[in-house]
Amino acid sequence: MSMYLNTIVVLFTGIGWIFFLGATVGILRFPDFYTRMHAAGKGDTLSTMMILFGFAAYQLHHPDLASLLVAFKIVFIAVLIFITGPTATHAIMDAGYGSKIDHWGTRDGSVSHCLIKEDERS
Amino acid sequence: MSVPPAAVAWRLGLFGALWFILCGGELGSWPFGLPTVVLATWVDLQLAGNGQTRALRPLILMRILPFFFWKSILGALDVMARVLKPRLPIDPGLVEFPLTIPPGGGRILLANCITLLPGTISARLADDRIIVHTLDKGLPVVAKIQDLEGRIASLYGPCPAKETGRGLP
Repeated sequence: MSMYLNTIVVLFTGIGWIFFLGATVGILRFPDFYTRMHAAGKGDTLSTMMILFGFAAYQLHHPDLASLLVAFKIVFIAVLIFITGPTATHAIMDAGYGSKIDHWGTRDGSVSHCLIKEDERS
Repeated sequence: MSVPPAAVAWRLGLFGALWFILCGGELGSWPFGLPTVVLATWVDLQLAGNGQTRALRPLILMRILPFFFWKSILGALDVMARVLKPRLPIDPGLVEFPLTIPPGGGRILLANCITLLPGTISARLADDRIIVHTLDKGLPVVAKIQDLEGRIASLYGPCPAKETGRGLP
């Protein structure tokens, strides 16, 4: 039992760390503010959640009420991260868009802007 | 404006459970806990327009939550796959898109879910339009957002009552 639980804990935290590594490499390698937000926003939210789920699973080693409550507390934090992560990413992205930060890939920092009209929707 | 008793009961139960979990079932915490739970219920009702908002359908939410989670895994994998390739295959751009979903909680949920989708982040949400930043203009951004819009529209009941910006029950 404890063996299986340990496997789950290691699996979740391990996947979390791998995603964190990916996010970090992304922040370093991506060329501009907007693309870096992709790395920071997505990798961060998921890896934090994965690591927290791993921690919550670790609490189940001692299945008494106190440990269960700690596990629930950690799951609540994970849910909060799942809500606040994308919200914060959107807020930073919105602020960057509003202050007209240069885009990568064009000489003058402008960007190809694709506008979809109402009647073009399928 | 009258407050539906069910809306109050829901919130009292949820905030009470939250306090129980936060304080580890400590009996001595309830003299602080009870007023806090009541206050949180009152504040939440004020913010939610006295429970007059359209309610989320909890059952459909349960069915759709794994989808959101799966998409966020795909999103993180997509970023990782791009980042680890030496050529860094990205072609970023903006897509501006008219929304059919009514204003309120649904739109906020949509913007958050777009941020979780592979290769897209919602950059601005204003005037019935959403501006999305995409990592790769080759991705079927429009089709994916329309699919998501339909799923989120199904989360909310068909009642056309006025929205006040919150979607929780």
